[in-house]
This record gives sequence, structure tokens and C-alpha cells, in this order.
Amino acid sequence: MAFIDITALLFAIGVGFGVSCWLFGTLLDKSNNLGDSRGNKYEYHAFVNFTSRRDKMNKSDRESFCTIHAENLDAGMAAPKGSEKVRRLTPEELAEYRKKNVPRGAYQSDSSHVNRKEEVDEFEEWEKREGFSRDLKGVFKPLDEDPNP
Amino acid sequence: MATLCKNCSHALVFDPARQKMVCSACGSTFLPEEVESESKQYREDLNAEAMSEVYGGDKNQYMDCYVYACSECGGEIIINGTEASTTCVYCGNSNVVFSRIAKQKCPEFVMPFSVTKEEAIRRAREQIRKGIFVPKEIKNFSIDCCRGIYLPYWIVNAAYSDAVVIKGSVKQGKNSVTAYFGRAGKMTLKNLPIDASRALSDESSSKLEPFELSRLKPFDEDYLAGFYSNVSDVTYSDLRYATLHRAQEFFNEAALEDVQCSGPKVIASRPSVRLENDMVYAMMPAWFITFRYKGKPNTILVNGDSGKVVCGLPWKKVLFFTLLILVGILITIGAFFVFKATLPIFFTSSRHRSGRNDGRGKIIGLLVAGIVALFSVGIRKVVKVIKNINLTQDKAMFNFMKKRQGE
Repeated sequence: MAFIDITALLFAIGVGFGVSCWLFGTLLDKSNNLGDSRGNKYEYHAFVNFTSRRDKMNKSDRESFCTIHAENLDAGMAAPKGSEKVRRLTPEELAEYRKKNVPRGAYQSDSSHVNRKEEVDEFEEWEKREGFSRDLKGVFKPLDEDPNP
Repeated sequence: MATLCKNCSHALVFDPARQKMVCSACGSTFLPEEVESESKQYREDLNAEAMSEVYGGDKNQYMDCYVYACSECGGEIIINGTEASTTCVYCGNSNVVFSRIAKQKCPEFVMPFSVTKEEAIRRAREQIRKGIFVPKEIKNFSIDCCRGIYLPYWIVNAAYSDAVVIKGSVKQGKNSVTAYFGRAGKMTLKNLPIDASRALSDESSSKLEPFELSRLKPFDEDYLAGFYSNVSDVTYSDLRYATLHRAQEFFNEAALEDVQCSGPKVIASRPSVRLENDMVYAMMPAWFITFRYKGKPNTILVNGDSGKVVCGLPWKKVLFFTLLILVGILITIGAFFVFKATLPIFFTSSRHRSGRNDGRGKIIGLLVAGIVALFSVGIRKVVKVIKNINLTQDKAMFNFMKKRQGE
């Protein structure tokens, strides 16, 4: 009987203080932590296009997965040095970076890839269908435009 | 330099309620884009003198401070290396220190304040009054200082790629086993605002989001009149890190949603981010309201456009823990009687049917796991909230706001 009582007490303490902590944590969050939210994926059009999916991987799979599938987006790209202060680039600098920003080994796109299937962004398709756009391109003038014409 | 009223030559300030430049002396109002400012060209050539040049002595003594002359009274305006507009400590007039924001440093866009100082204070008070763990003294706080500051932001477009390994539990027959999943993918981020001030933590400034970017206006320094402002002082590394950090959160969220298991957790990743060179430099408005509680400074942020209130307030610790323990004891007593009545069924049945796998042992195992999980979730919730509250009370934010000239 004592075993049952002790077990019941331990279980009850876990439930009692677990629920109480969660409840008062939520209340404290609402009461004293104001505005604890940030822009979400819809604000920034941050939708992931998964290029590889592996389920139930063994040890060697999971050790090599990141190495095999990781892509270095910066490879062969021209950009200002990391230690430089961020600033608006001059039209000349922009043109220079655009010229250099062709990844190594890349080829210019041409019309010979007629059979290539374009990747379809489902969200963009949905936006088009619904006649809805979050693209704010029109808001911004191009950087290479003279700010004081 | 202040923009002067063409009727009486008094300094104009931007009024968020009317969205116009207002002269406090004669009451004239002007649209910012209409104000003919002959001084704008002159401002571009206006140079600051380093404080060490003015006063001599050791360069390090004054750190990164500069001296300007107030266009109204000629008084000395002392600013640090990143301020772009401030208030004269002698005459109270606003001054835009334009040489700092000229040419390449000039933002392309500005989001004018649309929430007035009074409205910001009213909203902050309204939110604070609702808090049940907010001390009475804070509910009726007296404002130490309230400043409207334009914060510099880089609005970036970026490409992000990542490959992650996720650990989670899946059902295999009647058992639950650990499984590993791999997800690799790409995404692009459009118009992500990244705070460009090193003095302000990204954690705090990102809570001011979202910003309605369609309300941005082409930059005109007249919008800065009457407010403080800072220029960007972050490096490309800072910007890359901040963008990667935000992108990684979005990616991990999507990857965790994509796997079918319980308790998924990212255990390995290899992210890569590329910032596009078409980033846009903009200034975003925020009200910084400070008050003191038990001698310690506290800062409330209010988005100067949407009016969103951001702050972590000191809390009634004694009341909080007393209620938490009392409610915990009450639930414990209730749960004790429930468990005392139900547990013997499992244990006695198991004993009588020893050797027979009737699943009751597993039910007890699941019960224990559930209780441990519940307790851990509860504790983690409290710790996370307290950590978040402390984060928005950091001293760096108070110093960012306070160390400026003027009222």
C-alpha cells in the first residue's frame, strides 16, 4: 500500500507542478512579455523548396547527409568583404558585382533546354491564381538609379 | 541643421498626427516634400569636428564623439559616431546632422512616424495595465524619458540553402523507436528587415516587426526633424549572420513540420546564405519609453508606425511563485486521490497476471513518460518566459536610447 501511495504522490507532484508551471508561465507571458512576436514566413515569402527527403536514415546516411546535400551559395560569388561596413553600392560597383556574380562552372541559359521542367513554386502559383501578390518590387526604386536626378 | 519655416525662420518639426512639418512658433504647416530647403545642399558639405580637435587632448578621451553647431542658437551639439539627427540641449530645436547621411550613407527610404508620442504612451499604459503580475508602481509609471528614434534597417533579399538531420520518435509496432530524417532544400527571402545598428540587439529590434513596407517613402531628411536617428554601422558579416539566423529559423520550422514523428529536433545542419546586392537601406520609426522601477531603468519599445508595444516588464515574483506553488499543491492533492484510486488496478492486475503481457505495464510506462514530459514542458515554459522578459530589459537598449542630447 505504501508503494502505491508513494507512486501516486510522485505522479501527482509531476502532474500538479507541471500543469501549474505551464499555466503560470503562460499567464506571465501574456502579462509581462508584451509584443513577443516577429515577422513570419508569409511576410518574407520564406517557403522552402525541399530538394531531398530521406526518412529512417542509418548512421552512415546521417553522417554524410549534410555533406552530400549542402550547397555553398557563396562559392564563386563576388561580394564585399565581411569586415566592410554595409553601404549602398555605387552603380559601378553594382555592375561589377553583377558581372562577376556568375557561379563558377555555370553556363548562360539558352533556349536549348526545351525539355527542362521548371520547378513550380506552389505558393507562387496559388498567389497567381488568387490574383494576390506580396511582391513589393514596385515599392523600391533600383539602387543604380540616381537618387537625386 | 534644422529646416526653417519660410514664414518666421523658426525650426520645423515633423508632426506624425498631421504627417506634415509644423512650425511651433507661427503654426504654419508644410508637406516634407514641399519644403524648399536651400540648406540641403549646404548640409552635404557640412563637416563635423572631432571632439579631440575642438578641445585638444587625448583622442581616446572623447571616444567617437563629434561637435556640430546648432543652426538655431549656435550651441554645441555633441553626437556619437552613429547619430544622424538629434536635439540641441540648449534651445531644444531638432537638428539633422546631414553630412552623416549624405551621399552613400543616405537611406533610400524612410517610414515616417504615424504614431504620436502621446499615442505611444497611451498604448503602452493600456497594455501594461492589463498585466496581472505587473507591479502597481509600474502600472502607474512616471516616464523618465520618451524619445522617437529612427532605426536604420537593411531590407534584404537573400537565397538560403540548408541540409538538416532531424531526430524524432516513431511508432514501430507497439514500440516507439528513435528515427533520423534528412531534409535538404532551398528558399528565398524577400524584403527581410535587418536592424543595422550594432548597439541595439537583433532580438529586441526584430520584435518591432512586422513593418508595412508599402508605407515607405523616398528618403527626405525633413522626416527626421524632431526625432533622433542613427545611421547603419553594421558590417557585411553582421548582416549575413543576422539573415542566416532568421532564415535558419524559417527553414528548421518547415523541416520539422515536414517529418512525421514525435518530438522532432534538428541535430545537424549545414546552412549557407547569399545576400543579393539589391538590398535597400531604410529608416524605421520607434518610440523608446523609459521609466525606473526600484532604481533600475526599464525600456518600452513602440513601433512608430503600427503602434505595436514591445517590452519585458519586471514582475511580482512573490505573488507569482506563491500562486504557482498553491495551485501546484491543489492540483497535486486532486491528482493524488485520482492516482491512489486508479493505480492499484494496474499494479494488482499486473501482479495477478504476472508473466502475461496484457499491456498494463506499457500503460504505466506511458503514464510516467507523459508526466515527466508535462513537468519538463511546464518548467521550460517558465524558464523561457523569464529569459525573454530579461532579454527585453537589457541595459544596452537603455543606453542606446539614453546617451543622447536633449530632453
